[in-house]
Amino acid sequence: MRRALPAVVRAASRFACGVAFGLVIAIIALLVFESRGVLTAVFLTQPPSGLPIGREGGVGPAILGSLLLGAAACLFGLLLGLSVALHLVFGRPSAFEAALLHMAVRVTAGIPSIVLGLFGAAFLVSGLRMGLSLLAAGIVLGIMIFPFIEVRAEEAFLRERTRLFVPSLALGVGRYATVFRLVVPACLPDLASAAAQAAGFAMGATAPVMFTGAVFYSSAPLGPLSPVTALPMHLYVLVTQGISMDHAAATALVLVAIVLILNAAAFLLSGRTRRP
Amino acid sequence: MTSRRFESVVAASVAWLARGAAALFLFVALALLKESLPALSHASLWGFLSGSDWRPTLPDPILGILPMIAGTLAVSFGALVVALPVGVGAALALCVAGPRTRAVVRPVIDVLAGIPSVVYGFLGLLTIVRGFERLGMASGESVLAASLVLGAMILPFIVAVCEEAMRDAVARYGAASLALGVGRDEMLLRLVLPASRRAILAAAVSGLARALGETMAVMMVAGNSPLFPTLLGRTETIPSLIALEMGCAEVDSLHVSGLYAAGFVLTVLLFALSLVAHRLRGRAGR
Repeated sequence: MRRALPAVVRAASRFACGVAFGLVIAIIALLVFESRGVLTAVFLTQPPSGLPIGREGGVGPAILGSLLLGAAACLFGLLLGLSVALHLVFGRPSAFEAALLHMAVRVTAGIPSIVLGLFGAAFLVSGLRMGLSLLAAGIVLGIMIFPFIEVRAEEAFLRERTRLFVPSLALGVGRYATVFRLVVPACLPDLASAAAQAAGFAMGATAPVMFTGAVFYSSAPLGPLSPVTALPMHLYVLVTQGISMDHAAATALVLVAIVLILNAAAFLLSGRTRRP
Repeated sequence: MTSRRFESVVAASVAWLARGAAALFLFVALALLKESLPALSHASLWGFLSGSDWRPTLPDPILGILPMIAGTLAVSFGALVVALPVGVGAALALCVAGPRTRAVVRPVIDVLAGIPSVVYGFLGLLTIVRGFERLGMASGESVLAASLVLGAMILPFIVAVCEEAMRDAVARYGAASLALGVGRDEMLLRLVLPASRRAILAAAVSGLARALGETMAVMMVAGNSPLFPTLLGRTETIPSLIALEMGCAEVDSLHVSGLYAAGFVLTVLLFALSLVAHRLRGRAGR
């Protein structure tokens, strides 16, 4: 028995690896299979229709809404994440302040997304009277993804500190002149990679936008203060109201495809700056 | 603008933006606490945590979330039981796999982390819940179904954390153990696995934290009845309670306040867990 144990462990670990691998293949295959016949150009461009609504037609406005939400989330996430990363790496914070900032980022990353949604509903939607809007949902999603962006940006900035920042300072160039002319351009692929991955994460989130800006049916948004429809919300309603399982599968496939394309872009971009 | 002014203006605005961003979590916590106070003073903190009845729409609402706390914990620990063996096993296989195998398998497993939770919920409903019903269960929506779905969701994180530590261990002991004539499987079992104990624990804690805060996937397959959890019975978690009732609760009522209080309890729980995870990771790295 003692002799056989290592071989058993090896077999079990290979099996586990196969399970994890197979799971991904099975998920994609199932989505493709269930959405056969539905996924057409009409589905990708038209608004939902039929009775109850969503049984026919497509997800055109939801795709647009999700892209807008992703962009808004990125905007706020980058603003928050980059300012923290820049200040930590180039702003000479005291050790105490740096520790506090790191702790704050970690804690923010740990807030469950539904709680961020609650915060948005109480403070942004009713407190600041933004109403259910692209703006409120974008801010909530931005808060959700900013810790991720901060961590990746800080890594990238730290790499360039010795290579670019210190020599440039030694030549008498100002701190933030160096940062904006040299460091940020050099880190751009990494920052874009982080932003793309974070945008994908934000676009897939349902809980934070349910009470802050996403509705099941709306036309194209008229401005930042109007509500939007989003793919995850559309999928959730189609499934839980039992409206149409094949439309739900096609919606899920579109959502997964968008997220995976963003993740693939992030993967390729992050490889580009990794020098020896 | 002179360059010196540019420098000081930019430095000051970056610093204050950064501090503002860092203060956001305090802001979130305070907003949450403010909204939960009516419910907590109505039911008392202890009554809220230990009460087993949730009847928020009565004229004199009864607010107790013990079944939801139990449901959240049951579903999340269930997910860990599902994901930990598979994740640790996959990490063991990957840490000694050739670079080519790794280059294919790792990104594929990482795809699991990218799939949105609402899609997991949909797939769980389509496969697991339907499958259970075909097997003769009255309702496939159950703690077990939720644990299986959540297990798949936290799997990639467990693989990532464990594999990193195991590769370190292989780098440290691999050559020496090979030179002593120890077989690879023997090394995995007797050296790599024990050496990554802390990392496995850290992976478990952070996986648990992820599972506790998850909303959509659980909500779609757990059945959402405020009952104490049994393996094959329905249950309801704190996030799904909030997501389900927030839309239909009366504005400014004790009901809404109770939902905020439930969110507050969840956040405090997760905060404690993230402290533990952080300390474990710090030690695992040493």
